[in-house]
Amino acid sequence: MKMITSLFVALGLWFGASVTFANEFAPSPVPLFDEDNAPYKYSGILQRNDGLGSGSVAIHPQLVLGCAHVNFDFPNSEWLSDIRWHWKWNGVGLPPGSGLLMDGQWNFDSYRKFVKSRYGLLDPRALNTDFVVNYSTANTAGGEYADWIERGDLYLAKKLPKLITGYPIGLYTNPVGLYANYTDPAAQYRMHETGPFSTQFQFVDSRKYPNLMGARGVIGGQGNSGGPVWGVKDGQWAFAGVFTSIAFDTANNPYIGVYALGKSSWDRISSAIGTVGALPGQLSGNFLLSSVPAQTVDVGTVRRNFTVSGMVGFVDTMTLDLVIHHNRRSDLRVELTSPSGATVMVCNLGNRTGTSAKNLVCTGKKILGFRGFHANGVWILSVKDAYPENRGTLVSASLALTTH
Amino acid sequence: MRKIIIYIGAGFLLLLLVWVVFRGVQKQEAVSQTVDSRNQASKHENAFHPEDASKDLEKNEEGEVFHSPDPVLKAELNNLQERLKQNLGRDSVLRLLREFAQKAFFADPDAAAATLLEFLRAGGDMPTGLEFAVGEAGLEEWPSLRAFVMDLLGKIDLGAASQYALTTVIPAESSTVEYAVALRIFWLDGGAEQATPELISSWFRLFRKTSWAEQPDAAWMESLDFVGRMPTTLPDFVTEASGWLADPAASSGKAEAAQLALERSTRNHPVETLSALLENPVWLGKGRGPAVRASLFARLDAGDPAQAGLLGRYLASLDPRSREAAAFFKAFPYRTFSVSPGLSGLPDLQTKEEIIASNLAAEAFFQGIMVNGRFPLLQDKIAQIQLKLKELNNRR
Repeated sequence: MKMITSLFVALGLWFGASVTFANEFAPSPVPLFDEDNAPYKYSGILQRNDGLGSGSVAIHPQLVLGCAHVNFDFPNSEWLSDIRWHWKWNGVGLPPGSGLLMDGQWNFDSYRKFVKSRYGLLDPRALNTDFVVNYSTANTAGGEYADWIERGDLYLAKKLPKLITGYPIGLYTNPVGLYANYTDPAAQYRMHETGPFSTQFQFVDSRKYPNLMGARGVIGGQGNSGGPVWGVKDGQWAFAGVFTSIAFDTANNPYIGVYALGKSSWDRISSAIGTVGALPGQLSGNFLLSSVPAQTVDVGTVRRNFTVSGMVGFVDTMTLDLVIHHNRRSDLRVELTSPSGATVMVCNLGNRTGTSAKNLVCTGKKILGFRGFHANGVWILSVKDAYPENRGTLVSASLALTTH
Repeated sequence: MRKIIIYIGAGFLLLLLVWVVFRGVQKQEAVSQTVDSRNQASKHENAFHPEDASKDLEKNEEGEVFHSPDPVLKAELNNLQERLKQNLGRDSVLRLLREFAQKAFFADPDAAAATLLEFLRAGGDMPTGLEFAVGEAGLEEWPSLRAFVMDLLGKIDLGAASQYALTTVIPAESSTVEYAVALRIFWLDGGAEQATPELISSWFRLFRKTSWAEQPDAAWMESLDFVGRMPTTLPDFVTEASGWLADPAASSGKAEAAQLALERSTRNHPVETLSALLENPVWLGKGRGPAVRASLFARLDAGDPAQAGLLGRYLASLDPRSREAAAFFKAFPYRTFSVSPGLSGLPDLQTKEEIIASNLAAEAFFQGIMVNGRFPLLQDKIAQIQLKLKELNNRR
């Protein structure tokens, strides 16, 4: 109860605790056999081995995205392993078969998050990062996956069509509260949808919790957690956020909370996607200089170009592999210049204060300082040899970058 | 002859006078400003920063080129400091810092580094209102202007930043935030591959500073990320972590942070980490410790002979009826990771190919145990793991 109150307090800041309203939109079963159509065909249940389940959505051939708040209570680690995915289940009773055993999860816990120990189940700080990526080495949804709206937060804030899919009663065998009337086993495990509706979501506190939004007059259920909230993109339903929470005001009216896709959350998702292999031409690239002839490095500056094209968005991460054969590497200074002209020092050895060691070899050296820059264009690698006594050869260089 | 002596003496006196005036100007420039005591996020116990200017001047006295600060960038930095006094919102502060960083990158690198160093040496500071937050490309939020400037210096002149951190920040022990930035600079300066002696010794100073460890802040917690890169810290770290995990509620969040650090240590250095745990069974022996230990051993890759050996030793050490055994057999093969970036970079995750190879090797490993009849009391549980591995391996 204390945890629910904490969310209520946060939401109450925005809604006003005395406001009452009608529940305009409630879940209803998705018609049988409609699960083969979008967006239902991207939804499913993640089920742990004691039977409890949670909503989820396929966002990549091998990634299923769900909520994280089920993981926050560490001693209850049932959600951390042995999780099975039941793709587009919309039948009567429990899903048949064993589903797809997922390989594991990527979560987004960071050290600093633990300063106040783990947050409660409905603490806005926890809900603000409330998603996990369940991954599999096998395809999760027949190789299909939902499209997404990168700025889901901006979309949800507008009066535009929205839809929630999932399992409001999920696999919970004793529905309570608003859902106590859902006692029909045939309905209990059915996929449900809420909407379409155009109710505007609002930020709980965009400064403190940039990913957490809520809406009133729209309700889900306990098992909706992790299920997708959809918006329309190019005439199709596209993923815009994860259903994360439900809370009640003093008049027992429910609020729903959503972990919205936004600038920071998109970073996390694109990172996860990049780990399993980027979508073709969209998220990462590797640009090699190794095929060009080697070039002598002597006193003066050698410049070589990386021409980057076909990337979408802005630089997220950048790494450099570099091999320079040289008699004295402490003569060298290496810089990288962006298409817009900004220069970052890669190695500043050109002061002869280091050792007289030979050869400069960097592998996977992270280049910092270009995050947020336009990726496409000519990037210039400059190798400056400050002293005439020694000479060498720029043997190879490759630049890898990801965008967001 | 007398005239010559007089001229030489006069010349000497003139040189002495010039030297005295020059030193006086330098000392005036090095006068520290008071660090703003309102900086809540940074544990500034002592605003005074030791006279470090002389350390860098030694470099110049050794005959290297002296670089003057960039006057335009210096004015921009002063302007930034003034703007931060206006208690701006988070987005505005981040935009200002980004804009200044861009200007610094556009400036001559040596002059930019000299500008930043001059600011740091003068001891100026200003709270930013931001948190201490780590992103994929390094720090994304800095609670103090000094931390931001130090971090920026590391991007422009890593050697100078490292020298400053070593001679000033580490001895001063005045701020967990600056200390954490210094650790990251050492890590990058060492090539971001192996811990340098400076990093190791500095990390231990942070870890052992009781007043910081008792009330850990975000910077102190994030510094635990280096445990995953420095197996030499394991004996000290795991001894402390065992206490935190024995009573997590009393650990101020350190139990969970330790769990994450051990997860990354096991991923980066599985043999060193898990050998140490096997050789010291008292570690992680109470409270949540055994479950954490089970989850770490459930990450072993049986495809690597050294790790397979450790897996066998661990099974031999398990009490079949214990909760630890139950946790291990439920989790194996355990592939849940935190993917959040740390001060030492992004965690190294298993690729799809590695996972597939590891699962196949695990199936063969446990099949061998079943065939040989080893661990008779564990056979039922091993049979369950076999079913799981077969399911994973047969679905492709």
